[in-house]
Amino acid sequence: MAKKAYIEALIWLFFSVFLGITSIQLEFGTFRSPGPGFLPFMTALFLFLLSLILLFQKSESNHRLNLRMSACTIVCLIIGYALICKKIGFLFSTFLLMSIIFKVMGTKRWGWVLVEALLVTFLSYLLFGMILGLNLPTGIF
Amino acid sequence: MDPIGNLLAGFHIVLQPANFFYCFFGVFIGTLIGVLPGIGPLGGIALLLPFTYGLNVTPAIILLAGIYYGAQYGGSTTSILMNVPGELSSIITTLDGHQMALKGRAGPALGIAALGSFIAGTLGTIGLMLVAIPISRIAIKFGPPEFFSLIILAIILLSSISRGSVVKGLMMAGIGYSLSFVGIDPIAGRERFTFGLTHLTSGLDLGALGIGLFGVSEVLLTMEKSVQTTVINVGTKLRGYFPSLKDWRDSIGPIVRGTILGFVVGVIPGGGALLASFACYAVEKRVSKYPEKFGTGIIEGVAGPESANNAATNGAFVPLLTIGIPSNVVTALLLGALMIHGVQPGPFFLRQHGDMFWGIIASMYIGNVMLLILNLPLIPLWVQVLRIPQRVLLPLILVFCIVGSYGVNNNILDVLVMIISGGAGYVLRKAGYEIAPLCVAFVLGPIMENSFRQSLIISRGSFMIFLKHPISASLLSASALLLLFSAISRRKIVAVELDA
Repeated sequence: MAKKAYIEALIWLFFSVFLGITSIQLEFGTFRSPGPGFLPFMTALFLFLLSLILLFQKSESNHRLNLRMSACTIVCLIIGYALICKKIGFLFSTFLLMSIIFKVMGTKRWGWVLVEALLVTFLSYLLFGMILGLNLPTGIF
Repeated sequence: MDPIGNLLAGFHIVLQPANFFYCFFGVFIGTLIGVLPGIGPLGGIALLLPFTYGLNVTPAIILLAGIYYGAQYGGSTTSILMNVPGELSSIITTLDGHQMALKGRAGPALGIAALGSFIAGTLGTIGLMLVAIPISRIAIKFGPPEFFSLIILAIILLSSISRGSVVKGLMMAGIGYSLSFVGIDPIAGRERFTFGLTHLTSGLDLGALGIGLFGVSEVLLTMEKSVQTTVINVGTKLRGYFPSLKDWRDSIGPIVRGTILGFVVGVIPGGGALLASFACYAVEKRVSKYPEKFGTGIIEGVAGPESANNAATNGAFVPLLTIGIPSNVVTALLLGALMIHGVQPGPFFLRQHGDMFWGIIASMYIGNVMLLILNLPLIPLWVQVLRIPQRVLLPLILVFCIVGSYGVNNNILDVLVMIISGGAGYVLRKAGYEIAPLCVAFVLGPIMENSFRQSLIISRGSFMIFLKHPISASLLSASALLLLFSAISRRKIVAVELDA
């Protein structure tokens, strides 16, 4: 049951990341004049937080996962991700973000953390960049 | 013109042969949908929505509204005769209605359900007529920040009363909102989330999405259940359906209370026929001199909830027609239908489309009379309909779903959207997610985005605009309190579960 709930929350997490990445491609605008990507990005952030809460709720009721990540940390991480994504590129920034999230979410061995992060980054690049043809930020690479 | 003059003009519109036919067709289909277990008013409206694209807006809304309140009448038939609710708002009717049928009083149970629904429907329409004008006068003062805050409150209310956790409800609202981004950006006119598919530039079609989410997923879920097919026989004589004088004495109080309560619950965002019928049953049990008899087959347990669910459908039209905000998912579909026809309901709806407003009101009066005629003498016919085996009925509904979604734009891609959303709806419902917030957020998405962006443009980028406007601030405070309350109650439930 916990595994099912975990997968469920991860699907939402994946969807929110997809929405966020796609939103970055659109014009963000300013607070005075929000662009087409402004609200989609906000929605992605909202969904990301909800999926983490879902993950946390499931773990709380099942005593299986040991999550210590506060909502505040997550918000900071995502804002940081949005800021550096264009500069250092999609691949590196996503790999970095996923590594931190996997580590905080309870994967103990660093080796596994890196493998999981690499896999998620590769699959997202394959889906968004190659299959869906999104113009993902290349950054320094 | 005065309200009476306007209403007479409304009757003139409905009595035109074409409109009269669509009113009859709507209430007939509504009753049929209500009678048949497995497809509710949501599925029915979603299914017929694409077929109304070719109609003028007034007959289209008369037809769809007829399905909505017609289904409330029909739902009681299966609840009473089969112990299977024809649609959600008739669940509570199974408790006493079926017990009455087992005791040989199916006729009076069906009769009071129809007569109570008629009284509540008529009084509810009068209520809608009286309340709509003052509310639309207040709503004229609403600007973009107020609309944005009201939508937030509506979505949070809907999410918090959803099955499962409030987080799941909000998640569904977020997904629905995300789906509304597909297409052309309403302000900058730039393509979003179309992935190069020209078909998606006009956005996801509400018809195809609705048919999938509500029609197909419902069929798939019904296929899994084994529905009891034993139908209790009722007499064919009309006299047998009329309640006795004692039945009337016992029922009149519940009918009046059910009408008032149902109407109020219907107006509140997030409320609706289901909540109204449950709330009414609880109230009747509380005010009764013999609460222990509820559930054993007493007529009050049928009269109250059946009146409440009908009055709630009228109440639900108040926020839709006066503010342009649907209070539940069915009215969200109706809002979508109006918008597809280029009509924006809201504070100016009464002024700009007064003839349509009064036409809809008049159609409700006429529709209620039609329903009374359809429901009492035709009960034996509905009983025969109930004997259609599911192995015949469900594939038939699926064919309608496919044809309906193809009929949206005569495009096979809409069928694809329907199938994908149907599969997604099935999986989500199996996983304990409520579809209603998704659909409401999808319909309200463009209005919400426009209000939000316009507010920021007006305030030159200051988010304080949402708190400086008193109505907006009150609505947002109510939303925050509601979220807090839901979170606390959820934590308590989790704590109890862990203790257990």
